[in-house]
Amino acid sequence: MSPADTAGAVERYGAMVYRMAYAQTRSRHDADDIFQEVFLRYHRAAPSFESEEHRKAWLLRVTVNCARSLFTAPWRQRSVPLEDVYAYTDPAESAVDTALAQLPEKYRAVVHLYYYEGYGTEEIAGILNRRPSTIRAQLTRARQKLKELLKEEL
Amino acid sequence: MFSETYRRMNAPISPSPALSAETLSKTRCAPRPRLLRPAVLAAVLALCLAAPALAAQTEAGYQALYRIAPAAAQFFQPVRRSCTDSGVTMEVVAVQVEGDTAQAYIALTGDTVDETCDLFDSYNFHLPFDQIGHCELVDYDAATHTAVFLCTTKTMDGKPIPAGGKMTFSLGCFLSGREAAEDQTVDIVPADYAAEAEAVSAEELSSAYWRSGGSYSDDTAKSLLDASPMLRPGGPIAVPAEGLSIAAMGYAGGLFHVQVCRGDAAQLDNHCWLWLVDENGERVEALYSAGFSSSAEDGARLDYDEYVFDIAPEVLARCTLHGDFYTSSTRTEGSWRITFPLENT
Repeated sequence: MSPADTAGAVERYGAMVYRMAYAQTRSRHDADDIFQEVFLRYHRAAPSFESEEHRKAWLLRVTVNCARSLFTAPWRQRSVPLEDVYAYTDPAESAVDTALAQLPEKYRAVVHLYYYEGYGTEEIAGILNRRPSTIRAQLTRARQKLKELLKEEL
Repeated sequence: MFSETYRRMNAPISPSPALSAETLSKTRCAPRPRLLRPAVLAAVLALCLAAPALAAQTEAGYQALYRIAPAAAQFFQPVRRSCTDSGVTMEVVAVQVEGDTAQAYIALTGDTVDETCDLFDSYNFHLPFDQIGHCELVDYDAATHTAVFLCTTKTMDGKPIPAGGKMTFSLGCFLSGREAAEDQTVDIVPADYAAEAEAVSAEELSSAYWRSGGSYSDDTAKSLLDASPMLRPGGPIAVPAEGLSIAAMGYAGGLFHVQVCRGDAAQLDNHCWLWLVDENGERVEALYSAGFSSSAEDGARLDYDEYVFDIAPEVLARCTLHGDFYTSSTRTEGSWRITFPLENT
């Protein structure tokens, strides 16, 4: 992979990767680390893709894997400094942000892919390498939890 | 409403220009792409051509590698050494060392190998320095009963793995026939067990006792968590999944306990997560779970997990019991061990 190719991928998919990383970690610092790791892997692995959708799915999957590695790292800090998170002044956004912080990391990944990236459960299963039934169950549980926390229908 | 808010919240989230620039500068410093390194490519091809006999023996793993990661197949160093025990062949297909990280594609071929294969933490990277590693299943070929794992290990201190050394990968067992039954309703009426149940104290239990979770914070709860009463195991009340049975249910110390027998958890790693659902369809999670090991009459180890709910009998009367159940049917033991050279790529 040439630096120019990687630069193109960063330009096109950088925000997507960063959002996915932040959605899982709720930390800008961690999202920064994951962002770098994902594109360095992309550069080193120089994978060949059948389509842009394939490239996009590969990047999302590697992002999720990097976040998982981070969560299991023994040196990971469990508390996140205030300056490390995005602050929302709108009450509705702030409430959603607080609710999302209480969801398990695996649920946050599914929620993000479904509600932001617009993937269906079958596609999410492919990206996360889980069974579609697992994704459906996780999405249901995430919705139930968010419904409890936000007192609204999803 | 949630969907709109969530989309709006994500709109401003993006990498800073400085982060993008720094990342790209690192790619410019990174080693040249391996696909363009003729010396490496030539060495790989030479190795492939020089070992046709070995290739014939270990074709399944290498073919799988080409299918699942064609790029990796070209820049990983072929190893293709295999070892057979208990009717299962383990092959180290290819390896790559880069900086502080070594990665190896490991293939298992045999009748007990299936698409759910789990190395069950019985693998080891034998290297003369502290390292941390993990293995993930990346492919399964039903036609040849071959599962391929990508195993990764990193040095703990971040120092580069020295070139020219050797690494041994060993495996002691693996699980297969794994099944997940999630969000299942257990065929049991909790209200039928709303009476006080016979409990044994944690002190009476001769073997291991542990607990996890716990949302209590007052002093009473703290002492409870330190020595939680456990129900005396009985015969199976229900068997929600093969290898997992509800062994006892009832109140102890004012809390409702549900006890699950997992058999010998060290053998098949059968496990579950239980919760109640109330009359409004709301989940009621356990306050905490606790567990202990015991012995069956024949001396076999039995592991018990107990889920403890703070729920009044009148509320329990309208609850149902639910769970996620994860089981394995087969454990294959053996002694697979392969030593191979490590060369930086």
